[in-house]
Amino acid sequence: MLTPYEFIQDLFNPMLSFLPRALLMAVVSAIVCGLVGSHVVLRGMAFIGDAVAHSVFPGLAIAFVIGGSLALGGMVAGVATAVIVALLSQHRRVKEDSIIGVLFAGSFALGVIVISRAPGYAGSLQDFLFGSMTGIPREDVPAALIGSALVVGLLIVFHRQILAVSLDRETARAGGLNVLFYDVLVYVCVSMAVVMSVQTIGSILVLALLVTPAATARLLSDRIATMMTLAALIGSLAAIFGVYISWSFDYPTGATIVMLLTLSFVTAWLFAPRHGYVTSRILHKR
Amino acid sequence: MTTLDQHHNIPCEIFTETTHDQCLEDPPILSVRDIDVDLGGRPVLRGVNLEVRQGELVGLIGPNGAGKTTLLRTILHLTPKRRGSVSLHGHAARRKIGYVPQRHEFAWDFPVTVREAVLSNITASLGLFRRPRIEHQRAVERALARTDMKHLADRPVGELSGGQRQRVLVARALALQPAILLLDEPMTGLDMPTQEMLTGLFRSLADEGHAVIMTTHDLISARAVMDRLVLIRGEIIASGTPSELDCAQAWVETFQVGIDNPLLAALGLKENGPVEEVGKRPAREGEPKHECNQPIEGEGADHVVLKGSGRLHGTGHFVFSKGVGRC
Repeated sequence: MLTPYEFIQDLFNPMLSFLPRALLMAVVSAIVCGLVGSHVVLRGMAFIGDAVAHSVFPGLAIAFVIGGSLALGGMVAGVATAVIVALLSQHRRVKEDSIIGVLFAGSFALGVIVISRAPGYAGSLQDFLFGSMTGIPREDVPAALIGSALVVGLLIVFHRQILAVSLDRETARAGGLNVLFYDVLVYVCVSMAVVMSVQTIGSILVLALLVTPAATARLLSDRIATMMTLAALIGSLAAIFGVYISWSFDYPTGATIVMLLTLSFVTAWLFAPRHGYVTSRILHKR
Repeated sequence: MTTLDQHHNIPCEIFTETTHDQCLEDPPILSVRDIDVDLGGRPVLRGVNLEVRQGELVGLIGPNGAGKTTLLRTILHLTPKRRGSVSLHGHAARRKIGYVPQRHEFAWDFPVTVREAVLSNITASLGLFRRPRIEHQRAVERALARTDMKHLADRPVGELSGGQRQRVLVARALALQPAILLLDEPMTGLDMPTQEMLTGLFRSLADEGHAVIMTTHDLISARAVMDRLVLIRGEIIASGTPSELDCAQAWVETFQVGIDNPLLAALGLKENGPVEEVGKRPAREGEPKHECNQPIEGEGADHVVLKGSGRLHGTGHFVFSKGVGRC
């Protein structure tokens, strides 16, 4: 196993320029997904979040095959799915989870077919599905940073409105808020977070980056601002240690990060100061 | 003198407009006129008229599916109407309507405190890019004090009891400083002491000058506490003070239950029955006169002796045969 010192040395090695890039992208993705993911978890949107994550794949695949910008392709597909889902879920009478299931499986299958037409598709498919440390081009980094700043900015600027809509849609609507706009905004932020994260962590596991840090943070906090901060922090720590461990042992990066996140969730679930399973039993006994 | 048919089932007079003496001098602050609403292609409300004045505590009463929630939502412009108008008058027109939805509509598992939950309701009135100003914070604190939630202001909303949650929803509405409060089934699922506490709160809000409209299934409490009841089943069946609506017929028509339903008896409603005119004679000295609650048309000179029970149409004094009839 690499010592931390050796890892830092590798980060500064010009021959391994992909490594600091992968670490940066992993941490930035974790921060953005932690913030967006807080809304996904609190609004019970995990399934929709998964659908958006999967629907990004055909956009990426088509962009890859035509040689276009992956980020743009992913964004178009993600936002299109997000808008469709937002429209469907305006009328709560419609059982939308079946429709979402149909949409996301179908769009994922489309992506697989498209990517199978590309040369060297097996390797590309592996990268898309599971992420790749080495596969992030240098030129993507500035766009990813700008995109992240935009998402975080939107969430901060519209925090009150999103919160009001999440707490009670009908009262928010009665008060004059455009509920559809804020729903679409949240879904668009989910799409952007997913597109940025897919290259590092892969489209299958990106849901974990959205959901697990926020779910862990929820166990540790009863205030939304604290929860969002903790989610970003937990995600970042898992990203740093995940890249370190996967680099040391040649494990797949995305999966390593997700395992660390899962372990942190289980630990919090057992030992969280107020809501932990073990903690509450000890407190109860007193 | 009104001629009464033999053995005629006389229905109670049906009101479609308020006839409160004490309120007639106040103009209404909310007028709902000829509302028709369709949902999912089927008619839910037809020809609904409603006027509410400030200081009134009005109960919207009806079975499930009667359109009570739909009427509230139509007033709030949440549900589109096919026809009709909703207007606010006077100072109410310059203020928002305070909406208190059913408790299950709020996301109680959100990590927010009571104060943050109440503050969130003024967000829409802030507009974009604005932070709550000191007057908004003060309105929130006043709303918390009014609903006796100040001591719980920093508690996470998930830890509240049902009654406390209901008070949070009321506080959210009060933070808007509305003239009108619309409450959708605030008493559902709450125990008696909590209902009593909330009833006291709504009564005092009405006494302070708010117009308070609430839907409720608690008919006994509604008859005891409300200024006015509106019986609704797709349309307004009857409207009036609890004492004006003491005839079983309107309630039977609203709820489509049998006349022998025990709840009707518990409500102390008067039954309809056949009324038979058995003759006319002048009232004798010292004879107790039974006056109906409802003034009725006709001259007062003659006296009609009737046998039976129920409410009657016509003016005059009605003398019932001994042991029969209540009016």
